[in-house]
Amino acid sequence: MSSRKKNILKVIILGDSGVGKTSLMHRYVSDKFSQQYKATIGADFLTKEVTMDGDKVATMQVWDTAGQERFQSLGVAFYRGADCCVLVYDVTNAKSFENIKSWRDEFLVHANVSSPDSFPFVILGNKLDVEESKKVVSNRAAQDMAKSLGNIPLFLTSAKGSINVDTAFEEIARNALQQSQADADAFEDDFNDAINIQLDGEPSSCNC
Amino acid sequence: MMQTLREGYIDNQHPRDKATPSGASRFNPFTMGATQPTTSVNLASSFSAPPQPFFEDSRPSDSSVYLDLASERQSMRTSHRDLEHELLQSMRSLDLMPKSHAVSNEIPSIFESVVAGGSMAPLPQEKQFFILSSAGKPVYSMHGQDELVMGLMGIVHTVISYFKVHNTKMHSIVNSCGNHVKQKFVFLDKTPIILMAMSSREESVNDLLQQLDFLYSYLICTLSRRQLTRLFSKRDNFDLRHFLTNTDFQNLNHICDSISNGFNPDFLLGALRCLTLRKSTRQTLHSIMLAQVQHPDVAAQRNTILYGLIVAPGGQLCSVLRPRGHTLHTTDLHLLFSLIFNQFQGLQDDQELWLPICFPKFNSSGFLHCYIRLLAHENPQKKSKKTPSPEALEASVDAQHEGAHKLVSSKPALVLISAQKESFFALKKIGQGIVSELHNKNLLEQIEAASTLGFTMADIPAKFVHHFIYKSKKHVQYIMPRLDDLDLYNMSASDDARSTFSANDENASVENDPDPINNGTSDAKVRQKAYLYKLMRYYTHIRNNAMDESGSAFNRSTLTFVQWSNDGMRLNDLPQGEEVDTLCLAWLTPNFELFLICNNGVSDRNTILKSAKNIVDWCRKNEDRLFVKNGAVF
Repeated sequence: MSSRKKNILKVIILGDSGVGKTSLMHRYVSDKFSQQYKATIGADFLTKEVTMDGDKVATMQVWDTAGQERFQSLGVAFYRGADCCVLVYDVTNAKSFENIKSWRDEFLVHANVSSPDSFPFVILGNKLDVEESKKVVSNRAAQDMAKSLGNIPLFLTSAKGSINVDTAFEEIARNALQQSQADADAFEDDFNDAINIQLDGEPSSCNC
Repeated sequence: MMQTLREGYIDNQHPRDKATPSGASRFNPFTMGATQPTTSVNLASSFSAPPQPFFEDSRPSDSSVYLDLASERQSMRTSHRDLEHELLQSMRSLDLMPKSHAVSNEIPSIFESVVAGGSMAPLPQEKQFFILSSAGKPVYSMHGQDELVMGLMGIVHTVISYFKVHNTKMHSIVNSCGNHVKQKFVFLDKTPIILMAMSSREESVNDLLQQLDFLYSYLICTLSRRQLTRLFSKRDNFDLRHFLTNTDFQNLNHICDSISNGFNPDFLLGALRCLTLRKSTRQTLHSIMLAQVQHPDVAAQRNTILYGLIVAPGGQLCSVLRPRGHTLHTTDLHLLFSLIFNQFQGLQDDQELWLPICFPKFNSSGFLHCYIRLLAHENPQKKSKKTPSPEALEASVDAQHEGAHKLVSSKPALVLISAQKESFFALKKIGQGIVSELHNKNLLEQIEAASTLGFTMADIPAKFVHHFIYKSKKHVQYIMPRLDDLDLYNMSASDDARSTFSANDENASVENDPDPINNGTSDAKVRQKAYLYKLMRYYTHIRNNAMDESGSAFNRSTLTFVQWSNDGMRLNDLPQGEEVDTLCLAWLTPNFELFLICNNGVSDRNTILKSAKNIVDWCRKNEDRLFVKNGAVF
């Protein structure tokens, strides 16, 4: 079909409260950063057109979820049907880094993905702009973790300093597109679902 | 005056205990504010002292005036100081009400807010439909491109998830400002599909749910529930838009447009419109179809044919062939007719269509197969429009007439339905038999004549009635007096969709030519469109005034008057200088529903009730002509 619609990539961002999920999304979508911290309530939805490898165009639908515990009951409903999951930690917050694995497991439990082993994740270590002394998660530890979770791509980013954000999201989009297209394989569209109808259920009704 | 009615249509005493608190007060037939008729009604129910004397002063005493005291006590808690004030104002406004004695044939425009430029076109933000997947990916939106509304779909998804997590039965949100309902949002969760409707019109939650169900039924009709589930069971992130075709989107557009901006009581009433035919004509149609099915060759293979239908333009039912004990659901037929009259009108007379359709209410998991053929009466087609000939003048007049005819009224159709994929040739044979019999007996001319002529208000002794709709509940069919150019208008929206077949349509040139009639009357067409749209909103309003949000009547039998008047305060909302004094009536009984709109300026309820009764009598007397009763049963 000629007027094929653009692919939609559903990308979900997970991570502890305050690691900078919303900031990353805003930096990526509107190239803005705000010092103010405002907790996300439920979820935020933003969209952005992406062009990959020069010619592949898609619309990225970013679902920025709330990191706070109290919004988690709704959270799991958002996971369904994601094309890529972004796990964010804060390089100055060891706990947020340790929780990456549980966010991933939580996602896999609720997202009902067809092949958990090959589902695309991307890990982002945010707040790279802070001074070295405050960083508690070493690059080495992060790389090891990414590897152990199944060679997940890892990016160290800063939403504030606009470091690596576009690169990271381009990778996210590429992975999501791969996932979304992996399944464009042929659907058999036969109309063989015949209905079995027996009109002769009541023989008396036939007066011929 | 009610007591003079001998027939038991009306419950003479409205049983107080039966009435629902929220609704009972709506029985008040009293003058309401022009643009927000329900406002005053709500006032009455919140007012602490029974305001009965007030109504009796202003209106002739009427047994249908009735207030539910319990409901007043219940709602006393709401701050009624403001309400009292407003009520006082509306009392005063009653005195100010201009007593117009001029009766006009036009009905006033009370629903449209005047947009800049005086255009009365429906505003897009008054109505929106979303279809999305359970993952929140867009499938369809009536207004706005998918990319733009994607964020909103995320919110819809959140709302649905909220309902689910909290396990509420709720499926709607009403955004109101005081007593004035601004918007209604209604959600339908049909995992893996979610649907949402937004409306700022008079529609009830139930109306919107029905509309959503129809949109969902369209998806099922084209995909089948089984396939839909299968597509999403493989992957939750499936993008259904890639699986639907352009035609599907055109059809969805058309359905939304026809629900929102068309005159289409089918959806409102959940009933089919029936073509008025002579009893003997209809009987002949039935027996022609029956004869073909009972032909020894066909009868030998019993499960070949399931249903047969002859349907006139606009989805007006002429005849039904069905097995004993089986009927088709109204929604299924609406879907079928919508396809036939919007998508397949480009079919040539000798073309036949063999189409797999899933009838969602019949069986949502499989497909039935439809043999569809348009019926044109044998008028040797003159295609000499462009070839100069001795009879050039005559021919071109004919061709023009034909072209116009094509646009103005579409052709009737024959539909034969089978459960067997391979039975095309068997059905073709039955179809040919039926078509040739129809030709032999000149029935197509009668059908065409009936579908353009119908009946008019003049045929019925009903004084002061502008227009009405009568639905027979038993037959799930409705009738109404002819509305000129209804087809012209209803089809205009679907011109795009109808071109599906124009590529191999020899007459495409006729369709593409600037149509003389179409162009010449474009103004009239706009006016007609505005008129029909207005009419539809009146009907929606009066129907919902007699029913609660869930679409059930307050009582077994209900008679409600609604009156709009210039109340001196809201004139700004009205088209300038329009005199408004319109009375409408809704009459619901277990057997029928009658909705009527009076001529502007008529306020004598006794006369109107008499007219309503005459209409009911007339419809009952002519039942055989007006409705398909049993159909041809085999």
